[in-house]
Amino acid sequence: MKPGPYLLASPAAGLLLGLLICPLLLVFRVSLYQPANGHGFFTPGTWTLANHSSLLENHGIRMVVYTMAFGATVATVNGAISFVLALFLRSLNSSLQNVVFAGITLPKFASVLVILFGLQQLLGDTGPINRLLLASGIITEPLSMIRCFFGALIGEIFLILPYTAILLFAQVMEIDPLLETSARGLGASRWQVFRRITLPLSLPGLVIAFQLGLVWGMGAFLGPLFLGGPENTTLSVEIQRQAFEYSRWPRAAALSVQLIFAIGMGLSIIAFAKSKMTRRLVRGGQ
Amino acid sequence: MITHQIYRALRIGIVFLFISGILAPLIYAVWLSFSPDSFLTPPGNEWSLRWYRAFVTDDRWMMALSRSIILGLACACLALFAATTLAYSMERYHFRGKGSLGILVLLPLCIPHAVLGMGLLPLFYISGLWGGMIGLVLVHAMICLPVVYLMVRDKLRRIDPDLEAAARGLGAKPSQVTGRILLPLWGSTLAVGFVAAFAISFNESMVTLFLATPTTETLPAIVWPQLRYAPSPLVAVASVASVIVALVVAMAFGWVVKLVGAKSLTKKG
Amino acid sequence: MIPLAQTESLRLAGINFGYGSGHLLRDVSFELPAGKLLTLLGPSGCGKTTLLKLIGGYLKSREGSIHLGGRDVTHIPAEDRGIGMVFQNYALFPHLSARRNVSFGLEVRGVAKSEREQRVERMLHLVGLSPTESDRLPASLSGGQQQRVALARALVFRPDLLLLDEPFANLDRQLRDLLRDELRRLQAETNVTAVMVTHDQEEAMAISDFVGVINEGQLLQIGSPQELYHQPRTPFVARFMGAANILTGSIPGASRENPLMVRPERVLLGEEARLGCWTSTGTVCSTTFLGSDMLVNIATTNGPNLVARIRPSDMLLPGMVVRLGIASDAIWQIPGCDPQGVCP
Repeated sequence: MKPGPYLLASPAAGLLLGLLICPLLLVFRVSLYQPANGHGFFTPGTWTLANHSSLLENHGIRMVVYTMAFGATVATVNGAISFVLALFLRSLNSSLQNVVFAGITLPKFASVLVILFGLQQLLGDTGPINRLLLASGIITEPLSMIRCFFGALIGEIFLILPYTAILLFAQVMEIDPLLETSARGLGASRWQVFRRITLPLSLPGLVIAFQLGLVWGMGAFLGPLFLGGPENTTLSVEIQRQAFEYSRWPRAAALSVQLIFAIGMGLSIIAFAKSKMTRRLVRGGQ
Repeated sequence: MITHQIYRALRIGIVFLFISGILAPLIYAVWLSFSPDSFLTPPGNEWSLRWYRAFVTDDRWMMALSRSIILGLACACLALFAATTLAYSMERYHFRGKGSLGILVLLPLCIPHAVLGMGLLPLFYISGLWGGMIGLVLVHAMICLPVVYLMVRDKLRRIDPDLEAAARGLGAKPSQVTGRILLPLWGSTLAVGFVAAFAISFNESMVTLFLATPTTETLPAIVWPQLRYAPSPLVAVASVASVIVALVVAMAFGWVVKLVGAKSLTKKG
Repeated sequence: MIPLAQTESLRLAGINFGYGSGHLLRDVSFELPAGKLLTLLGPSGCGKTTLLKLIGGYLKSREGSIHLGGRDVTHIPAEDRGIGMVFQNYALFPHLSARRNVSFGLEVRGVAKSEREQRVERMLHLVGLSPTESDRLPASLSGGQQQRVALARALVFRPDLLLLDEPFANLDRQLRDLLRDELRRLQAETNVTAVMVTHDQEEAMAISDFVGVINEGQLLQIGSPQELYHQPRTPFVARFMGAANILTGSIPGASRENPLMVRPERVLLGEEARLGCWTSTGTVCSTTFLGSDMLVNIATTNGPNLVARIRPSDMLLPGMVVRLGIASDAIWQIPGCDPQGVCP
């Protein structure tokens, strides 16, 4: 007997429903519980919106806005680097491409924590970069590259870049080089070829890379925690702190709900921008 | 001609710079692990295996390491199974709900792990999965699912469905079609998917952080607090160990795939 | 239902097929005698490949039945039907050598090794593959060789029926003609009943015992190539089997409801025009040189434009005025309309 499509899809569907959808629904429910009174992590059977009250405070709003700004920055910087890298990779011969691929993939076999540990040590005040710069006399005070926005940004990009770079590389490799050659033959300058041929054809991949950067940047936890300063508290960091340092599950769940909504908003903005941009690129502005 | 050579040298230079940049944290971590003293300074003239000895002789670290490996292998098996069956049903059948399932399977990529962890906390708390490895295996498999699914589906898409039809027409039972046609053609990608799932699970730290208990303490769960509050060369050693294990698993799989592939080609009649 | 002969091998009755509400095949029925070659002919997207896959058991029909050698196979899965099929892109297993591709059908049936090897060798020899070629992977074989492997693979387990889906579509013309003759020889030698699908009417006429014309999911007519060429039952069949003049007026008996067909080679020109039951004069509008002959488009003074086939040596040029006529036995009254309800 040949198994039908539903039977075949059921293991994956079971995993997703049980361990993704179910927890997400629970997050919503827990965010509406009253905090624990004495024992446990929440008071079962209660309903309240009080956990979302942080949204009414300056501090709470600032954190949401900061998270979105951090995500957008990560997405932009990471997307730009990935795109440049993908275009550069395309111009290489395949053996050099493989070298770069090996270099990109190798860190993915290491724990995220290893990379962050290495970065922490490398960029620290007494790390080799600062010592080198101090010794050469370029600077007199150590540059603070960690415990700040820059550190968090670098950390996240190190984690995300391999994925988006490979994704964008696959996208630009699908562009037939003949298209660019023939555009040049029709009299287009290098910039015009990029603007009218390469960029529009890479757009689908660029959008996905940007979306991934945004989602992962907004959900960023490890980068901001290990390499960011105290003012770089993203929602994820705060969720973990509320859940573990204060054992306030309802509050942590409420922040999770806010994060999901923020991400959903970010993704819709991108989807909107994409449809606008596609239209402009297809019709072609002068 | 000369400008051509300059360009070529320039390109190789850029590649070299880029690679060293992206590998720098990893290499630096490895270097630190050979430090002879308890400070996190790279070893100069004197390299030492002191911290490696400390790592290997510490039961807590070794237990965590073996737990991580078992967790990774179990998760990879489950994720590969779920992803393969899903990919086959999505690529080879039309059915109601296919579109929503296609979106659902990518959803894990869009949910921050902190949110996921926050949802899993009450789930494990209520359902009694707390403190068991089974829960972790299931969660890790779910996290790996989109990546493995995309990989294996992409390959399946490039396997002509007519090959399976042809095999059936020649009299092959469904199990023979799978064993003699589908798996030989799909197998290498499935192996890559397995390795990817293992690497993701083995290095996953976020959900582990939310769900770890003393009985399910994995490598990242120990590294975590140490890294946060008291980084020592021991952390560097643990990092090196994790990289080595992941690479060994990857290479072992590559070797097996090569062996099986060579066998199926040379086998006659 | 159109009976063709006494010893039927394949019989389809009332086959309907479609996804959702769309109909890909409508009420297809025919019988095919053993050892004969039937070609299903139709434009792309007409449902002929679907029909082939239904016969092979790769798809399941909603209604109707399929009998093979007197056995009802309607609900038997493909692996148990014992039908050999050559796919359009050959569907050779890329990880198996040509030889192992051919022996696959015997391997999965559990045929003993010695007999298997013997039969595979004989079949490889029959299709003309050398031993060195047989040990290569499909990717390193030429298109023609791949086609031979596919044929050998489909025939080696002695199927009751051979199905061929556009077997010559990916080959250049010379090779196509060569392999066409070889297929005909192989089919005669193995005496296998065969159903082939193509969109090329020339190929269909050259190779087949019977031709079935399909359009928009309906089998319009099935019969010998001569029958379909000279006595088409609908205007579509008339046009699809070759150049045709479809007349709906101006000639006695012709109307919208009852169109007449005259093949271009039956249009009489010049002196011979006198022999026609209908005559006229006309001006040559255009000519098309085809090598062995030539098609001329002529605007008649009291009727429609007619296409005539002439020898290139007849030297007709655009603008020349000619006499033309049609003999009564050259006129074929098309009995039916196309099922879409549109008559020309």
